[in-house]
Amino acid sequence: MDRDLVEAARNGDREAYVDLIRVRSDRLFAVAQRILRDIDRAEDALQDALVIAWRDLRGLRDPDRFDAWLQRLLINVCIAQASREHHRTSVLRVLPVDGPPAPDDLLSIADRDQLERGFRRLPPEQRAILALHHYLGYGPGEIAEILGIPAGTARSRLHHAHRAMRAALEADARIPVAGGHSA
Amino acid sequence: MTFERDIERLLDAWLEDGPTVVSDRAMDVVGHRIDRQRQRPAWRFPHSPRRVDLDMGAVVFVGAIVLTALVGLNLAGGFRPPQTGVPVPTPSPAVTATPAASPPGAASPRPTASAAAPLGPGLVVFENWHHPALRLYTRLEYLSPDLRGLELLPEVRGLQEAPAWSPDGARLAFAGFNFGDGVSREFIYETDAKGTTPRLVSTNCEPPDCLEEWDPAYSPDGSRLAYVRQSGATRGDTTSSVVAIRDLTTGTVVELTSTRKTSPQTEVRHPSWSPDGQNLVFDVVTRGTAGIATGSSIYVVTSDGTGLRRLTPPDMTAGDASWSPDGSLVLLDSMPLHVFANPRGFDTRNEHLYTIATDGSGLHQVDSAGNSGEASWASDGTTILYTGDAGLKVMNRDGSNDRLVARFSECCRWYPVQQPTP
Repeated sequence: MDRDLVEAARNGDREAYVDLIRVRSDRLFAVAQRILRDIDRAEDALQDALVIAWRDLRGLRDPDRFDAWLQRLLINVCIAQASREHHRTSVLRVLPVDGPPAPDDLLSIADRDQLERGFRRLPPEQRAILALHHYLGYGPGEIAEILGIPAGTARSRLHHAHRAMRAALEADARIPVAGGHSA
Repeated sequence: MTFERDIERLLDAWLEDGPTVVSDRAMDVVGHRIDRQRQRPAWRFPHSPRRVDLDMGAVVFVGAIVLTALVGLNLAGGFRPPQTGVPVPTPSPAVTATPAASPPGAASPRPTASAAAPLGPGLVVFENWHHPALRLYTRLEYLSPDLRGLELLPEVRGLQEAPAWSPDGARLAFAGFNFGDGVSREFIYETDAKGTTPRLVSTNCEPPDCLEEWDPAYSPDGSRLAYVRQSGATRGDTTSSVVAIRDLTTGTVVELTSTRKTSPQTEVRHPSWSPDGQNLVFDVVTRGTAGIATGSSIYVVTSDGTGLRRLTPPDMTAGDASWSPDGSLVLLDSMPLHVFANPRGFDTRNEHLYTIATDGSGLHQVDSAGNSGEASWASDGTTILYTGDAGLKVMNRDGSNDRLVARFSECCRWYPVQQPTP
């Protein structure tokens, strides 16, 4: 039935569009938050992407590709916003926090802090790739479809993103933080 | 953290944590924004003799090619972040080669009274359109002394547009939307030349009589603000637009009822005062189906609402009028960008700047290059500040001494206005 909604929205049916985005907004927001690491910026990016989608919906030729098309829009908006923020915001350093242990035994608080720092060091494009793969569970083929790139390129970028993340974590481990601790 | 552990499993677990529900407020904003954002099937430039109708699919296809090329370049450069917000001056090859971007992490510096040397004193503020075809994310920037574009209000969220200086240069009015204050309507705000926290000017603006206010312009004595007031119950149901004048001391608002347009196909925009404060010029925009602008003319009215008359020829598309400081001429643009909102790079060669006498005679094309618009008078009162396809430009009122002041390395910065100085 989503195809019918997309067709209707493409013909200017606002309510159909609202129905379409209502069931997708939480998931899209979560993706944006994973990339941008900030709730306000994620909401801004989601808003921009949804308005662009409404504006350009008539350019979508295949209604069955609505989800991939919308996700690509969101990713592009997130990348643009993250690139822009990179120039005017401080580089955040999350200091180690003493607190209760993580709800699972896989990640300690220190692990999470270190992952946060390492992830923030990545270029926005690599953050997006990692979010698509590790949060949405997409494989290289699906990432390729969403980003409009060849599958081989998606595999390569995913590989480079992992390497970059590892390098960022290793670099972080070498940098002393406030108080003389080592993360 | 031990690197022996599987980094992929760590990322899986770490990214799983975090918020998963968007706020109702954020989605309300989306609803409001799509109410004011009409769908468009094709790019159209009805003002131009060379009509351009591009299938959106073709636009997306070309965009994809460009994006792919850019991504490829980015990869080759090791994902260097783009040099966002760095207009580069043309005359200096050294600066062009190595634009002085703000260092990552540096706080945006506060504007200073000194301005870009080629323009003399007076801070230049302009709009930066982050989605130029859609005007989705417009922010105010100022031109730093080293010719960089820096955000004027970096701490303030939301859309900012239509900057206008007070005559003494102490205040800057602009229209803002979605400032995170829970009000998803466009209102007029006022800040100072340092970009300190803006104050709301559009007080007591409640629907249906007052839905939104925008396009501010200070009166010559700085005591009043002319602007456009839109009426209606909701943003999707606007019923009229009118030129209004607010007394900045008392808050009293007078609507110039003769300017009111009650059809969704017609609206008023962009008022500008005569230097004696007796008259205003403003745009009247007509729209066709799907809200696409089909025409725009400039009208004159006295500040008490009488004497309404058309200034520009009926067959001419015109807007963004600005009265010359000596009162003799009105500067105008043949394609007001806030109305037609076209992306640069299409056929805008027929976009020109004109001057016209206040009695409607003597229409004169000022620029020769084309693709020129969004003009205002520089603080010296004799030169014209405007945007061309290469960036921020300035020329004499007769079109002579046309020169580039700052090349914008990234689209799109428009509507420059320079701070008046004593």
